[in-house]
Amino acid sequence: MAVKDIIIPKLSNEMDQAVLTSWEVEVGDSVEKGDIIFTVETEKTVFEVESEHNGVISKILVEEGTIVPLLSVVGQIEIDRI
Amino acid sequence: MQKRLQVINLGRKDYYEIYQYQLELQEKRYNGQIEDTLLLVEHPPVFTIGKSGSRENILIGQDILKKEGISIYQIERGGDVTYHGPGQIVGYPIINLNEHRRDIHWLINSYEEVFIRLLKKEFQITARRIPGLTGVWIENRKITAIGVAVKRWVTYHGFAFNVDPELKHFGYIIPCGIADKGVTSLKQEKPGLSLTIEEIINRLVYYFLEVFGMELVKDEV
Repeated sequence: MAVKDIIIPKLSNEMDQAVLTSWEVEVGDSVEKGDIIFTVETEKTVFEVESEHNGVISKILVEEGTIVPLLSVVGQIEIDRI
Repeated sequence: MQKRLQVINLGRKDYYEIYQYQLELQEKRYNGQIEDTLLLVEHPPVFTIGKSGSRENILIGQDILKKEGISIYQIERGGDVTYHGPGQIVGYPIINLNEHRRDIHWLINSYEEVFIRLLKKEFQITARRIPGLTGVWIENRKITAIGVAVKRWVTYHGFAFNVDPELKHFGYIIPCGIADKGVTSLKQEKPGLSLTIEEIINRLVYYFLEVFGMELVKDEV
């Protein structure tokens, strides 16, 4: 069983944080590569973040509305349990 | 090679119809079926609520909304409540940032720069950014609202530039959730202005191309 981190993308070279506005999945949900799994917002821009893997969401570490550093880990996905 | 921009001037069109058109173009742009595209449109009166928005920032009830013919939509762009209506140029750039810069701050800064240049060079109006309050401001009055969504690094939603809208309608909301700042229009700042929306659109497109370092795609007939 391989677990991969779900991270906040590097949205800009000149910003270091964003607000995690919503999770589009719950723990236990199966996702495919390319599915939108959460959104972050900064500077009036909502960025929809896709899954990089096929798998099952195993951990959500950050609640909606939290300010998070770019590149930080916000959840985990198990990638061979589909 | 110079990057290219297709500009589509839609005239006055319903909000939801063009919202669906945006989604279609956003996907086509990601798949490489179309070039970077700028949609320009005026909408009939509508309030839209962004991802971080609250219905509480719309201050009137159903009766007035109905009387004034204003619809409400909740959508996925950034920001809170905003108003669109006739006399406002709304722009929806469908841009693949993978071919420009994968940088949200750069994108927003560039949208703001388009209007700062347009206002300065065409209308001798000094507009500015206010740190933390995305948009374009003349002193403490907002003239261009910005609210964007990005999926797979392709943009949609965009900006709304007040040329001569019904400013009364902004009084029905707390624009962008900010209570202590005002809203203005080009007409209010330059009462003698006699340019048509079409003429202003042409100038807006000029500065958009300049800021983004793009050339206009000529329609091939």
